[in-house]
Amino acid sequence: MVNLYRVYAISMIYALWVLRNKLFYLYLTILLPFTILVPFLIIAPARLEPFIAVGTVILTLIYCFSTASQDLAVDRLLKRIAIILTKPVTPLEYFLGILLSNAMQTLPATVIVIMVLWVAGLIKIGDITLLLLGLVAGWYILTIMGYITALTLLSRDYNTIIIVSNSIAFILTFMAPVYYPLEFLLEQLRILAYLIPTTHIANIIGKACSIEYGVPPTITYTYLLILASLLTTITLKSLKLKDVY
Amino acid sequence: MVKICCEDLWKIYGSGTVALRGVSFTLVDESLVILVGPNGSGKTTLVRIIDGEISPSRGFVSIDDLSPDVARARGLFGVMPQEARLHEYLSVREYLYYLALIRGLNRREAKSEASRVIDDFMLQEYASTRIEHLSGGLKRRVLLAQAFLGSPEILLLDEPTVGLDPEMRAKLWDIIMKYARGRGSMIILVTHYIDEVRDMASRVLLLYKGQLVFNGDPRELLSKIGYKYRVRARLRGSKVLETLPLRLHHRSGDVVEFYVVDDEELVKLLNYLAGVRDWVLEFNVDRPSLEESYLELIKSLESGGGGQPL
Repeated sequence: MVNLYRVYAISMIYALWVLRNKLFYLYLTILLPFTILVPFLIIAPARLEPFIAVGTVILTLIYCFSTASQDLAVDRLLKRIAIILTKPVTPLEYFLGILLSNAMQTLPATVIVIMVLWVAGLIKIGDITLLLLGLVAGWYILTIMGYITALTLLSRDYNTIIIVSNSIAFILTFMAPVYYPLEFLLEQLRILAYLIPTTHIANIIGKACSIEYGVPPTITYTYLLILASLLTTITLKSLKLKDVY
Repeated sequence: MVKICCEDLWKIYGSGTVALRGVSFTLVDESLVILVGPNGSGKTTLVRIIDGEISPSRGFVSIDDLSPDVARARGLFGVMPQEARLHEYLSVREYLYYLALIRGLNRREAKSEASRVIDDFMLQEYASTRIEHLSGGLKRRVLLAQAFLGSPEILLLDEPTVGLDPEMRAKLWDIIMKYARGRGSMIILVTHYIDEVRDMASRVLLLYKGQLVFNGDPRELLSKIGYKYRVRARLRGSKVLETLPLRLHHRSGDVVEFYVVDDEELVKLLNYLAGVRDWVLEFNVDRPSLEESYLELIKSLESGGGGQPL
């Protein structure tokens, strides 16, 4: 049984540092997305502009990955995590707390970015349900990936976790076709791109905004379903909170 | 009645460091257990195995016949980890409230429990202050306070007063002892300030290089030093020593220290000193400290004698 109070409390403990920091909103809604968006818009041809806009939305979602892994790394470094984990918390409750915390930290900023892009005419939202589906899939899969990355690496030092999570975040952002369609990649790299989750998350959000990335929807849905099931199973069955120490 | 049973605990870390070497003991219905030992002797590792944070490489722990994981899940523990930082962007009240929710209380209970702990630990004045703005001593008090949320049956406190001034330490000991007396919990306390809590301790566990070398009540540890009283006397000349009825342990200038093994010997010595009082400028009687006994035992272990692992 999941104790929802516990999940809520864990999420608040992790999210409040961000929610109380005005600079964070500036960072995630303006600085991070638009410092990449603006130069890309300047150098890219007009037909790529919608891709760049969707890529910017994906970039804010990738923050879920970084936060999930780095929150745990910082907590372990400062030994704060022991205070939570020596209380009667189940692995599922802890994970749900982290998941909810990421939603609180990231989704409002993502929505603000979408609104800005929509008002600026860079995104045309055709299917709001599909857009929400893409956002939720992105939030869930990227958070769970960050969580597993952190738990897998937590026996190593803090710097290693940061380097690995930054490297993965870089791959998720730029090695996957999120700022550009699949056809821009070399033939050999396209297969690799299919394996990166952000390719498929961008594909769903792109479809909601009437952009064609060139990835068949059946592959996207099948891939995301399998990946989400696999990652959830790993999280709930294989990883124990003791791995955090 | 709480029972903690540790059987042949070994802990070998990935780096090859052996932190515990076959530690076994049973604690039944103790009030305050002091866990002592030199730095690196395995105290924190033992605490972390008992509370289920880490698993032993060999052996097992049971708490009321439950595994540490199950005991933790049932909320039997309150733990104050060594050196842990707090989530400092929260106020004291928020932090304790969220941790009370994590402890399994509902919102109303958590609110009242946070208030109770704030009162007990004299944090009322700082309840709305963000933890980041508190002094080191107050942060330590919050870290300790969170362990008491939900009135757990077992409290594992890893050096709760380290780095605090004597006044603050005295306050915290007072709070801890009041709690132990009032709630009937078992407190396992890792501390280097053993004499500050010796009168309240029901048992002392001494770890040395990962082995349990002493498990008994504080009086038993005190007896390890080999004497019950220490009499310090400042003498005029050395005439007094010629007919002394006791062995002279140590003399430094005109100050002589006698080590007295029992009450009878003490009476004998005092009578003797009264008889030669013209030659005695001053004297005082005190008891050896627990720390001295502990250091004596460690010294004998380091020189290879006594203190076989239990």
